[in-house]
Amino acid sequence: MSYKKIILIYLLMISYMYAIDAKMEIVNRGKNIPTIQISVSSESQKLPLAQKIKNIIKKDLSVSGHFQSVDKKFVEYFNAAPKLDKLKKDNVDLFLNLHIEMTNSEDIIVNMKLYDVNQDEIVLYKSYSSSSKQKYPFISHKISIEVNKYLNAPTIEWMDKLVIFSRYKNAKESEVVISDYTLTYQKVVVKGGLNIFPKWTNSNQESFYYTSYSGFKPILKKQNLYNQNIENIHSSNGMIVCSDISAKDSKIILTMAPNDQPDIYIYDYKTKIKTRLTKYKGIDVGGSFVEDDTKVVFVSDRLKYPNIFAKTIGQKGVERLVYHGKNNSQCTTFDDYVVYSSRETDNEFGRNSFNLYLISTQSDFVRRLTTTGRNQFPKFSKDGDSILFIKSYKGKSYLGIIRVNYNKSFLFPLKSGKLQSIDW
Amino acid sequence: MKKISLIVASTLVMLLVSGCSTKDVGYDDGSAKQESSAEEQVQRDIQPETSLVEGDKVSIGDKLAYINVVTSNIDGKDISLRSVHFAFDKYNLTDTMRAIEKENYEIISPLVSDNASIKIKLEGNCDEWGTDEYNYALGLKRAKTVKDALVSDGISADKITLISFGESNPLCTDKSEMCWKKNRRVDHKLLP
Repeated sequence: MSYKKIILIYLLMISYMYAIDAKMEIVNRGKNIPTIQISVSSESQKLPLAQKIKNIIKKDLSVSGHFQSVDKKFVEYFNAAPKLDKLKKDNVDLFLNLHIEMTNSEDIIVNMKLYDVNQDEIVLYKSYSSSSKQKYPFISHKISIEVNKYLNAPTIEWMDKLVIFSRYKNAKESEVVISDYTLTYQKVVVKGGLNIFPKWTNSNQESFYYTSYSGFKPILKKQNLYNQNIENIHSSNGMIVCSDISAKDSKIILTMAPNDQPDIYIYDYKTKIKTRLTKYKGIDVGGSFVEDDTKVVFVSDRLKYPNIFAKTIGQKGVERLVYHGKNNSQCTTFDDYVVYSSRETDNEFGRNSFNLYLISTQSDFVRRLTTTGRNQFPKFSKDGDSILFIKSYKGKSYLGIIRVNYNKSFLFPLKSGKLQSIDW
Repeated sequence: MKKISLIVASTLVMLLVSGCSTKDVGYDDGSAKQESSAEEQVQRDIQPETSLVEGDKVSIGDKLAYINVVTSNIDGKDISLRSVHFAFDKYNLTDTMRAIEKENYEIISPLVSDNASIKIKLEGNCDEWGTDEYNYALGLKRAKTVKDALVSDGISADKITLISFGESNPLCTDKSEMCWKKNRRVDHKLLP
């Protein structure tokens, strides 16, 4: 049986384990992961971007959990037949050769060849181009996705998606930025004043909601990324935040306070009708659809401290979901799974670490996902395979990725400012 | 100088009544004492409370008190209102903060009576702890508590608007208890 089949069966087993219960076992897969040598071709060695592209692909494949990257001194001309025997002796399974062309100051073309060392043949030959060399991180991610596809491994197509975040600049000033998941590419799309809680309207990532403080009241706006159209969706006294969007895009969960009272509402984007979901006199925020959009998980201080609750839409009762921790003030959901952020101390004088925990609404299992620093604002990926989060550690902001099935997490630093919120 | 003594004395009485600091800083530990010479300079320079600007400090014996004042210009006059501060993760007013809000009411009430167009904008703020959406709601609940106090004293509810800035509008960005206390507040702004 080839290594490719072994890996495929193994990865399918992991996926199945995750599908049936959060209590998955993390096993050492070291020997099963194929090794890959990534090189920049002899012709492209002097191009500054070449090494950056190589490093991003290397990081991507590491984040995927499906590859072990090796770093041999192995440089070949792009169009020459590589000496794969040398790599075979070193137990390298795959060889990726990159060739970069810069036709003018902005255009970039990246050619890639993937060799299966064991079969001694080229298995992928593709070319990627962009009219903006600043977008090289996305070309890198696309190459990683292709290499991953060759293995038939679980998809990593989320790597190519845009991350949207708000970052504080100064008091009452923040900007909305789109980036790749490593924060290497960044572009400001909303600036001036306080602009917070950006959230993609759907998986197409063409438009996003965000809260603007440009008027007398906070306003929820919808902005198209490509034609810059801006639509005012709703405004509220006090605050308004888009917390989640239903699977069919038509309903959004808002936290707002038309009567000065922060509660959760479901707003139908098509009919413009809003329905108040919670009526507690304290704080109810951060609603998130769960169980086929029939139920909403949210944060409430109805026990005198923030904790995670759930309410079935159309019914009166509220169900407590989390029986751990004394300050659980943020959550994200995927199918029957909930990840929440929990402060480990209940006052401001302790070490005040915040950790992320994974639970299932179908069992009482709790799994801690982080160990140090302040880990907040968790967001499941669309496939539920990864969790994006904000980490604050020693005064710096990081975007973190947890690969749930692989027991791995990765951090990408924000060079300036402080992350306010994220979505992907 | 008499005015300064009056301010200091009255604040000290409030401290004694409440049993703790009424303002943002109320520590009589070593660090506060080490700063005493600098505070003496501040004390000499300090002006009557009505013209205090944001961030001024008043020396009270060996204690320090932080006063945050927001000044609004109404009909050509500067009107200064003191911010109300809150305990960690709380949105209820202590007796001391309720007394400060009563002082604010005494200033606001005649202005609103004389000028029907004046609006009061209460801005809720939080420290950096807590995750952000919850922090925005917490800031709003703090503003709502102050609104309820003003309404209870006699200000019409429709004169008051609320907004929460969560953690986005800190007075101070140090990583210290003192700083976090400063930031947990409701500011008052008068809109002509």
